[in-house]
Formats: sequence, C-alpha cells, structure tokens
Amino acid sequence: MEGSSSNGDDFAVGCILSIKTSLGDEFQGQIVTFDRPSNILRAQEGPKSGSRRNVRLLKANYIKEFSLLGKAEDPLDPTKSFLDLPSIQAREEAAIRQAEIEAERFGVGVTSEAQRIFDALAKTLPVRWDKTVIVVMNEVRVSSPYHSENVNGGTPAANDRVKKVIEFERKRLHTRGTSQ
Amino acid sequence: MGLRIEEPATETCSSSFDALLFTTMCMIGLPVEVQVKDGSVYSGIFHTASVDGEYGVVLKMASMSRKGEGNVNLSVGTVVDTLVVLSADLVQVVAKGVLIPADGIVSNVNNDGAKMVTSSALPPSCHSELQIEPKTSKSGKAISESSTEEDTEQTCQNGRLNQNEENISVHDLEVKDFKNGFPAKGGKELGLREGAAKPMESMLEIENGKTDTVVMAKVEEGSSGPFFTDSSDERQDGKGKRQGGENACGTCKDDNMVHGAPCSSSPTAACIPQLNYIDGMAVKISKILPNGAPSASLASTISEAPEHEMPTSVHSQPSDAPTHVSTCSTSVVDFSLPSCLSPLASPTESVPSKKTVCNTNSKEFKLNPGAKTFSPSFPNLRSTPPSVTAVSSVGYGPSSSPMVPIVNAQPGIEISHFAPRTSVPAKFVQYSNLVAGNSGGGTLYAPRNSLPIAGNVGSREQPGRYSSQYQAGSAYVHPNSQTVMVGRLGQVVYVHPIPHDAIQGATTLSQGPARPILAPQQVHFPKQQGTAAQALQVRMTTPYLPAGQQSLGVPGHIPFPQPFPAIRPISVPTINSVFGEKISDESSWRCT
Repeated sequence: MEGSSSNGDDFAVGCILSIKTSLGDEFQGQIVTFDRPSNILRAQEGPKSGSRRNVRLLKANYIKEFSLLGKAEDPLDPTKSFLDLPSIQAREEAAIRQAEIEAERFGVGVTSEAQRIFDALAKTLPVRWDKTVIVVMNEVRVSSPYHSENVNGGTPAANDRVKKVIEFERKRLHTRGTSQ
Repeated sequence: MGLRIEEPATETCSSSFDALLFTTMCMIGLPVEVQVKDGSVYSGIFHTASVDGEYGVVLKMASMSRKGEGNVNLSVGTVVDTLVVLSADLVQVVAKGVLIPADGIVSNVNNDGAKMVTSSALPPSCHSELQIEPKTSKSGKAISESSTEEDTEQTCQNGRLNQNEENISVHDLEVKDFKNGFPAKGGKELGLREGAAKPMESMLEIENGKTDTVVMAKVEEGSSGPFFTDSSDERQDGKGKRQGGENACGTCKDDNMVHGAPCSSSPTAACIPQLNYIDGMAVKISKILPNGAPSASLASTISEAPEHEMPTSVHSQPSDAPTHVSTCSTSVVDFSLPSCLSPLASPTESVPSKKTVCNTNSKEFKLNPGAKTFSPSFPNLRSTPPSVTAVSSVGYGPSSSPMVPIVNAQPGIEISHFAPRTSVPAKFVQYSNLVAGNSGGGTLYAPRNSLPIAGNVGSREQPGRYSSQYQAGSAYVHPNSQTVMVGRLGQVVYVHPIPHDAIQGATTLSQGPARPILAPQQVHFPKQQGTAAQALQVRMTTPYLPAGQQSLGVPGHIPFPQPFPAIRPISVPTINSVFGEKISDESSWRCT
C-alpha cells in the first residue's frame, strides 16, 4: 500500500480503518484528514466520546495495508475548532520544564544499578548527578561503583545516612536479584 | 482567548491543510513519539512542524526510546535539546491524550475570550484601532480599507455586545486577516509598530499615569525582542521593507511553518532553511541548533505577550489601551491579542478599589481596635445604671458591663481602666482606695486558685473582691444602687453590687458547668453577718475551668441592714500585685 496516495485515491475523512504499517505497527483509527501534499494521514484513536484521544500522523506511503471498519462523520468540525495560543505556549513551556527536571535525574553513562541507587537516594535526599558521581545534599559524593565505601565528603551524619541508604538499597537489589 | 479557525475554503486541499495545521497545533507541547524510517522511535515534546509540502517535525527534550536498524550516534535514553526529524525520515508521529479543542474545551475557550472581550475598555481600543488603521491603509499597503474598517467595526460591535453569544473574538478577525494575506493585520501591525516606535518621551506623555515606568519597561522589553526589532526596522526602512514586514505572516503561511504563532516572520525564515539544509540525513540532532534560537525567540515573543498584557491591564485609562496594544502586539504573532486583553484593565482596577475599602475599615478602628468588636453591644450597655459601671461588675459580667470592652480589649491594664469612667457615682470618691482595690481585683479578678481567697475571707483580710454576699455587721448598703459596704472583723469593706444584668450575663456564660462545681464549696459566714438575719453563702471554687474566662457572679439583691452602726472605710490591702499576676491566668472564679 506504500504510495497509495500517489494513485490519486484519497482517504475518506471519517472512515474507521485498521491500518498496518510497513514497520509492523497496527492500529485502528478514524481518519480525520489526509493532506495530499505532505502525504500525511491523520487518524485518531480511542473512544469517540472521550475528550482526549491518541492522534497519529502517519505518512501514507508507509501504510502496508488497511481495512475499512466503518464510516462515520467528519470528526473535525472547523466551525468549532479553536486554538488557545497562550495555553499552547504555556503547555509547551511547562512540558519542557518538566522534561528538563526529569532529564536531570538520569545519569549519563552510568549503569542501571547506579541509576537505581540514585533513585533510591532521591526518594529522601536531594541528589543530582555530577557526571557519573552522585552528589547528595551538595556535599556527599558517591562515586562509582557506588558502594558504601565510595561515599565521601559531607558531615558525618550525612555521610552515615548516605552509606546506610546505599547499603540498604544494595541489599534490597541483591534480594530482588536472588529472588528472581 | 480563542483562535477560531475560519471555515476553510471549499477546496479539499486547503481543507485538509487547515485540518492538518489545526491538529498539528493541537499537538504542540504534548509528549509525542516519532518513528523514523529506520525503525527508531524518539520521544519528546512536540515543538513545531513544517508543513511546507513535506511534513517535518521538531521535538524538544527528545530521547531515543527505541533504537532502530540505522546507525545513529545517539544512545537510548540520551536526551537532546532539539531533535529535527525531516520529512523524508518521518514515518509517523503518535501523540497520546490530545485534547481537540472542538471536542472539549470550546466552551472554556469561548468563555475566556468572552471575559476578555466583555471588559469595558474594549470600545476605546476599538476606537483607537479605527484611528490607526486608516493611517495604515493610506500608507499604500495592500490593505483593503473597507475590510479593515469592517473588521474594526466588527471588533467594536463585538465588544459592545460582549461577544458572548456569537463567541466571536478578536482572533476571528485575525484569522480573517490571515486568510486575506494579512492586509488588515499588517496594517494593524504597522500602526502598532508606529506607536511602539515612538520615542519614550511620547510614550510617557501618552501613558500619563503612575504606571508609566512599568509601561516603559515593558516597551523596552518588547523592543528588545527580535521580532519587534526586525519588524520595526522593516517599517522604518521604508515602504518596501514595510511591505515585507507586512507580508511576513504571509511568508510564514507560504512556508507553512507551524507553531504557536504561525505568522512570525523571523522564526519562519530561520526554521525553514534549516530544515531544508539538513535534508538528506536521517535524523538531525542539534543542541546548538539555529532553530533553537529562532524558536526560542519566537517563544519568547509569544511568551512576552502576557507580560505586555499586564501593563495594559494595569493601566486604567481607556485612552492608554491603544498605545499599549500597539506596543505589545508588535512582538506577538497574534497582535490583536493584547488589544483583546486591554479591557482587562477595568477588572484589574476593581481590585484596588476593594483594597481601599478594606483599608478604610482598618483605619476606622486603628485608634481603638476593640471598638469594632464591642460596639454592637454598647447601646444595650448604656442602659445599665451608672453605678453598675463603677467597679464590681467589671470582672463579673463582662458581657453586660460597660467596662467590659475595656477589660477585654486590654486585659493587662488594671486600674487605669477605671480612670476614664465618668459614670462613677460621687459617693464612690470617698472609697477611692476601694476603687483601687476593686479595680485590681474586680476588673481583673482572675485568681487561678480561689481557695486562698476563701481563707482570707474567713480569717482576717478582706481582699476587696468580696461582693455583696459578704454581709457584715457594719455592712453598708447603698441606698440607690445597692452598693454594699461589707465589713468584717472590725473592718469595713466596700463591695459594689453587681446588677442582675451583670450576673445574668455572667451566669449565662458559665452557669452550666459552674454550678455543680461550686456547690460543694459553699462557705458560711454566720458570725460575720450584721443585723441581717439572712445568711450569706459564698461559693468559692477551686481552679475549675482553667481555660475559661474568669467570672464572679454576685447577686445584688441581698438585703442589708440599714443604717450601719459605723462606717469605717478601710483600705483594702493592695492585692493588686498579687492578683496582677493571677490576672494573666484564665481560670474561673465565681462567688455567688
């Protein structure tokens, strides 16, 4: 079906199709629009009554096969289509901000075990990555391989606490690994 | 503040394009997954897209969630700031949980827009636009004067009609202008930029008010924006450039660069070439992407819109609205947005007015903070006999005595409370020492433990708080006001009776719990009674009601023999110091 749009047959808006892509995906959705110049098919998935749906923009030339499941009305009413530009902008900014916060929690070039230790420490203590070193409370540094003896710096109390958390987490990981 | 997409033309191509544009804008800011032709899947925040013939997307904070067959210099989980997926590499974009405005938030958006438009300051802005737009049309642009005026008139009418019914906002006009190649928009933009390009002095002149400084800051911010600078330069450079500036949006449309602000010139010019430049590569990842700058600038310009809106809302003068609008809208794609928001000035003004009311109230009671609390009960208190106001009722009947307000308001002050009382009878002067004593005890009678008091009563000293219940042989009953002089052991104690009102008021507060507690602690003083045959019962209580208000209820209707054989006014031991400390405690003490 690749290149189906080239033959001039446009997808009927409102049709409910089951589509298989050439990359192995399969989904069912209602055709919202098909833009011939860009060869983009926009389909929406999910219940019709729901306010939020999954939207899929698919290049038509990657459609392997499709089958018609039904026909419905045009789901997009231009007369009722509104865009709130400030909210869109705010949404994007908030999403980026959140993504940046979450991105800082992932260590780059660290093992999954180190990441789990980081996550365990982050539950109770403010932590951040300094390359591959976990920095707890901006004073205690836990370097690879992230054992309790690799805890350096900070006040004795903070140091001991970090060591305890690491030991506990390693014990928990060990028990989880053995149970599996 | 809704942007209503105009009903597309009858052509299917433009309809599909508009639908694609609309859905693309609905996805901005949402987390999406982009699959490329090598099978890799990237997840990130949908930032923008290019619908210029081919569909390319730009993701922010993107990371590879699934590695495909191709060799990509990007590991799974690595986050990149900006990821550009070209149309040639794009397979599909999946956005989950997209809220189509037409499905759910139409009403909300309309309401928001209505709120903004229904504000009272809109008509002035409309007039200002009417004044500005003819200038722009005369400037030789491809502006249809009739259409411009029509749009403005529509805006004004919408403002007058509050735009509630038709849900037509200024954005509708924007879209119409968009469809018309932005003639009116360009005209507006031009006029607005002219206003923005005025010297700051003129701005100050126009913005006469206390908020001039704020406005200046905002104007400077707006002028610092890239879009603002570019557009103003274009405008100032001449007609040709101005024309280019006006057609910026049209160029944007031609380029079909979609973003939150589809008619921004500089971001479009920066973005599209970039997409074309890296065409041919599977996936282009750029942390220092030039696109980032234009996009950021665009974002900044858009994000600055609310900031610019703020001064418009701050200014209360309707005449200021147009100038603000012009200044603000230059950097924003949707420049009617500020004009639409300018009416916000009036609701913002209402807030200070409320604060003023509150401040007025606070000023009223600034001198006497307690007056407000007790003023409602004052008229009733005035009806009480003047003698009642003298001493004893102070501590016992706080709710019915005129002294109560003072006591409650300033419980820490003792005798001085009574000084201003002019209602004290003349006879009371001769018992000035008692006044002092009672003032310390009566007003602030709050012994935590009443047992020592009972002991004092029976043994030797008259603490002065003894009320009319203490009938001694030399007791003196005030003929008029039932003021009682109680003396024991050869000493006379002046005890001011407590009116029934005061007692009732006191008992009303703590009658229930106090009665059963007081009962077992009744003390009889038969020997201390004078000619009166009636026995007095003094009920002293232990520190009950530790947290409650101290109260001493004394009935004033006890018969006393008259006349007294000898009246020897005594000075009650100054127990003020003793009770002064106890005053702070809030236990209850009742003597009936």
